[in-house]
Amino acid sequence: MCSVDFLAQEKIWFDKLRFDEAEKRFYEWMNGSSQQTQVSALSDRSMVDGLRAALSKLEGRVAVLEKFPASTTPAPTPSQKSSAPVKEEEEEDDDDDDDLDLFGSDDDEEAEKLKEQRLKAYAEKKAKKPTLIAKSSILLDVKPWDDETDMVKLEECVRSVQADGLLWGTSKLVPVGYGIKKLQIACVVEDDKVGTDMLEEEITKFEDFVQSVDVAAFNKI
Amino acid sequence: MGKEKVHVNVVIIGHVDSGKSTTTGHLVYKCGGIDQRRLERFAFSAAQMGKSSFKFAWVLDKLKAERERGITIDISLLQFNTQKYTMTIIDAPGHRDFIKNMITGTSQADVALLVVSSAKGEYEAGVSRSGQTREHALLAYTLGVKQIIVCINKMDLTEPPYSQKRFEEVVRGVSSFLKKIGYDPATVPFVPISGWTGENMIAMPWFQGWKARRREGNASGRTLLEVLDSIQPPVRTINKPLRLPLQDVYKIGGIGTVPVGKIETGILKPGMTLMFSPAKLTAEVKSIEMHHQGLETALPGHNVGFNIKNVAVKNLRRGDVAGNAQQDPPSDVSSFEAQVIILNHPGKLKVGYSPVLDCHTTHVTCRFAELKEKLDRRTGKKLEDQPQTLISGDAATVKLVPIKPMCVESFFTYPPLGKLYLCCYLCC
Repeated sequence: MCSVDFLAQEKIWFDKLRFDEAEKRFYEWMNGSSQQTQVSALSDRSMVDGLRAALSKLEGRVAVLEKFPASTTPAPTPSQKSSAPVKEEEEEDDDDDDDLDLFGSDDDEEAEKLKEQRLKAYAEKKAKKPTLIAKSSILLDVKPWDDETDMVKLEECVRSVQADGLLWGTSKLVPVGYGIKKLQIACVVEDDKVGTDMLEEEITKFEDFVQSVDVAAFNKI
Repeated sequence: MGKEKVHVNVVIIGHVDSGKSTTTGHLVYKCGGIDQRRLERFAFSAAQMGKSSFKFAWVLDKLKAERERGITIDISLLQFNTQKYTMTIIDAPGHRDFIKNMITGTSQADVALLVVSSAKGEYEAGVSRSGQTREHALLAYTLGVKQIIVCINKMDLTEPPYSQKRFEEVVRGVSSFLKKIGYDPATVPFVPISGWTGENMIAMPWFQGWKARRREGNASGRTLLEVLDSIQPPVRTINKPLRLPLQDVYKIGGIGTVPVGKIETGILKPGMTLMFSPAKLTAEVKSIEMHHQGLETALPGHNVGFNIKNVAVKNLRRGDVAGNAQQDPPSDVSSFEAQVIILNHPGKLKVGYSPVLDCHTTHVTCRFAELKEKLDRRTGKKLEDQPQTLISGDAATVKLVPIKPMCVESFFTYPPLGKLYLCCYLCC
C-alpha cells in the first residue's frame, strides 16, 4: 500500500517518452508533411526514374550482347546470372556518370537559357523605355591673347558657334594672373552630334580673340 | 589656412543602365556636395508642389534639368568630402571624345568606380559582348587607373531583393573579367549597394562577414564610403624635377611675356632659371601668379602664370615644356619608343601609319617607324618580334618619329608627360 501511495505521489513523469513521441509526430506532421513527404517523393521518383533508365539501358545492352556474341560465347546462360550483378553495377556506374554529365550540361544550358531569357527581357524593357538622348556637359576654358582682349566680344564669338545638338550655358570669367582672365563657359552637347574637336576648331577660328581652348570638365548628364 | 584634405579624382564607369548617375547623386547628396542654400530652395519648391516628402530622386531630377540647360557651371556640384579626402567625381559620359580628354586632359582619375547592375537582365546585358562594362574596365586599366572599386548596384531589384546569391553571382562574373583585363580581383573591393534607395551603406546584414575576410581585420570595407576612404591617395611628385607644359603664352603690356600652364611635377619659384623645350630657350622667372595672387612657391597641380625675362611671345608656344635648367631639364626627341594599345581601330596598322599624337598640351603628327614587338596586354610579356601588322586589342612597342620636334618623357619618370593619345589609340 505504502509503496503504491508513494508511487502515486511521486512526481516523476513516467510516460514522458510517450508524450515526447506524440509531440514529435505531431510536429512532424505539422511541418514535415508538406516538405518532407514531397522531398522524399521527389527523391523516390528520381530514384525510380534512375533505376528505370538503368534497367532499360541494361536491357538494351543485354539484347545487343545476346545478338552479337552468341557465337563466341557458347554458354552465356549460366554465367549471365553471375555476371549480371557486376554488369549491372558497371552499367549503373556508367549511367551515373552520364547522368552527372547530363545534369551538368543541363545546368549550363539552363544557365545559358536563363541568361538569354534575362537578356531578352531586358531588351524588351529597354525597347519600351523611351530612348534617352545621351548628353554631356562640357566646361570649356577659352583663353584670350592678352589682358587687352575684349572678353565680351570673345564671349559673343564663342556663343555665335551654332550646331545641331549644341546648347551654350552660363559662363564666367576666371582670373588667371597678371590681369588675364579666361572665359569659362558651359555647354551641353548631344553625344552623337557634337565633338570636342569640332568645338575647339570652331572657337579657335576667331583667332583675333582666342589663343586656345581647353576642356576643363567633361561629364555625363 | 586649415589643413586641406587630399584631393582625389574618381571616375565613375559602367553600362548605361547601371545607375551610375543615381549612385553619384546619392553620394554627393549624402556627403554634403549640394550646398545648403540650394537644398533649402529645393525643399521649398518641393513643398509648394505638394511633394513635401522631398525625395532625393526629385532633387536629382531637378539638378539634372539644371545641368541640361547649362545653368550650373560649378564643377563643385560633383564634389564631396569623406573622412579623409575631398573627392571630385567624373561621371564618365559615353561621348567618344571623352577618352581622349581623359588621357590628355587636366583631370586624371586616381580611382575608378565600376558600377554594375545586379538587376535581372541588366547585369547580363552589361557584361555581354555588346555591353560596356568590360570595355570601360579595360579603359580604366589602360588609362593607368590602378585602383578600382566595384559597386554591385540595384540590390533592391534582385529577386528576391538583396539576394546574397545574386550578389555572389555578379561578383564571380565581374572578378573573372577584371582578372582577364589585368586587375587582381583580390585587391578589388566589391560593395553591394542600392543607388536608388541609398542603401550603399546600411542594410544588407549578410554583408558583414565580407569585410573581415578581405581586409584582414581592417576596419575599412563594408560601406561604399569606407571603401572610398580606404583608397591609396595619389602620389604628389614634388621631389621630382620641374615639368610644366605650357597651355598658353600671353603678352602683357608693362609686364612682358607670361606663359601659363599646370605644374605636373616639381616646384616653381621666382628666381629659377627655366629651360623650355623644344624651343631651346632659357629664361629667369621673375614672378608667379595664380588667380591674380602672387605666389612664392607653386606646387604640382597648380595652374600658374609666370613672368619671364628676355623671351619674346612668339618664341614660345603651346606644347612647349618648361623645366629647371639646373635640374634635369626637358629635352626634345627626334624619335621615341612607346607602348601602344590599340583600341577600337577598324583596320590593320603597319609601318608608315601616321596618326596625330596628343601628349600633355602638344599636338604633333607622328609616324610609325618600326613595330618592335607585340606584347601581352596584361603581363607585358613579349609575344612576337617585329610584327607585320597590329589590330584592335593588340599591345605593342612601337618606334615613333614626330614630324617636328616635340618633348616627351618616359612614363615612369614623368607620368603626365608620358601619356599619349594617338588619334584613336593610346600609349603609356
